[in-house]
Amino acid sequence: MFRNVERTLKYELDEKYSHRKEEVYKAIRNGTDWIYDCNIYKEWCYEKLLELDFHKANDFSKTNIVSGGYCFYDGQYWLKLGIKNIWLYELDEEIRGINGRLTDYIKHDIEKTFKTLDCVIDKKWVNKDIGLHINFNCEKYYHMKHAVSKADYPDNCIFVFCGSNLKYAGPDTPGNGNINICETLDDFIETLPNMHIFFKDTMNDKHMVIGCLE
Amino acid sequence: MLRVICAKWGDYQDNTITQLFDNVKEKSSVSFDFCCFTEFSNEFDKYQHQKDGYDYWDQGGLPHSNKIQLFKLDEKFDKNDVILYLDLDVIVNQDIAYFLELDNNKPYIVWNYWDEEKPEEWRRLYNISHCPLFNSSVMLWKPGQNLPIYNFLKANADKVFFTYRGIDTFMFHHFGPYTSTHFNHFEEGVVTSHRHGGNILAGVVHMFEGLSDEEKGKYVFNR
Repeated sequence: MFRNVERTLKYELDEKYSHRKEEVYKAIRNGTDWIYDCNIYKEWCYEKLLELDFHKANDFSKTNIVSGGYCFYDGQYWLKLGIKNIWLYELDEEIRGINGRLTDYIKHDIEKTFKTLDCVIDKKWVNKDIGLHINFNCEKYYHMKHAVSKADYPDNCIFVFCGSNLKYAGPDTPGNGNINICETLDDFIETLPNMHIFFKDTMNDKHMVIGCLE
Repeated sequence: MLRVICAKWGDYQDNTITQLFDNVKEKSSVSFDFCCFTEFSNEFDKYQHQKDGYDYWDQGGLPHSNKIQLFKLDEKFDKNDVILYLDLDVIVNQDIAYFLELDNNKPYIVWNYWDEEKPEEWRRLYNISHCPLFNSSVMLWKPGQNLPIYNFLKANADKVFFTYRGIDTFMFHHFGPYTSTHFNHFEEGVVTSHRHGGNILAGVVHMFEGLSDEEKGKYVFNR
């Protein structure tokens, strides 16, 4: 795993993505994705899914992750959740290349597919045959209720939606690029499809809702 | 037939259109028809709200979406015509006959070569609504070629108007090199930007996008 990072930083990022080297370093060292402390929230999500034992009652072997940012430590959680095939969706083309490298250490256990798209506008290209769907940054997209509908997904599919109240406050601030902020958890739930909610809470600026579609 | 078109809405004065026409006429060795579009459908008006509390960069609302309506309004032209679209704040420096020599199997848009030199700037902002490498100040197409863009916008208007605050980013994300092969790009140096390099080595068309009204008044509207 750590050889993996070394190789990623040394070769791949030096040659192809040198302009992103610093932020990848930060993401691995202290969980800060560019300017946003994203790993705390990803950890919150993964730990909560494990704590609630959803992975034992449900089949997460096929999973979608939208807007996961740099995924290095994620691989360990994916293994714990029983994921065998994962689809990673990003607006940012380059992240797929970097994530491919960062998660190379799980290549024998999990098959990865990367797609560059907007999960709402391009929803027809999002895989529907899954058991778990996570969107870590709903604030970067139009309302999720327009992206996900019950008819398209298996009945027992678990959905995790994370959003925030981080407003834009100048260049290089955490709210940069956020187009759909929600002040409160209830406001956030309003933007989601109808769900039977198993868990909902807010940590700092981030809301998280776990449930299945109704 | 070469159709040189522009579009006018907002605060531009009528003489800016006359100035652009005179400028094109002076520099053209080929015959052309000039047309300025001023009437646009109100079909997208209901989506053009500004979200309360949002910053300028992230407000969505797709300003300048009237330009995308041109991709539908071109149906009045003959299918063999060639359309050269020019923003009002550009200057034509060289013969526009150049554009007739281009292979027109695909439409053309300006590629911001000057931004490409700073990948650390544009690439890390790719997912943010204000950082494209497309510039729609100058476009070239045949009638119907860009209709898929209009149709896509029409089908996804609520989402696109909510998501993007610029048509260039919208087109870059959905019709750009990472997701489609829709556009060709003008070669480097053909269309230049005053903001990036001044008027040294100005191209066939020189753009003044991004400058203040005062600067545009000085350079463009006193042609």
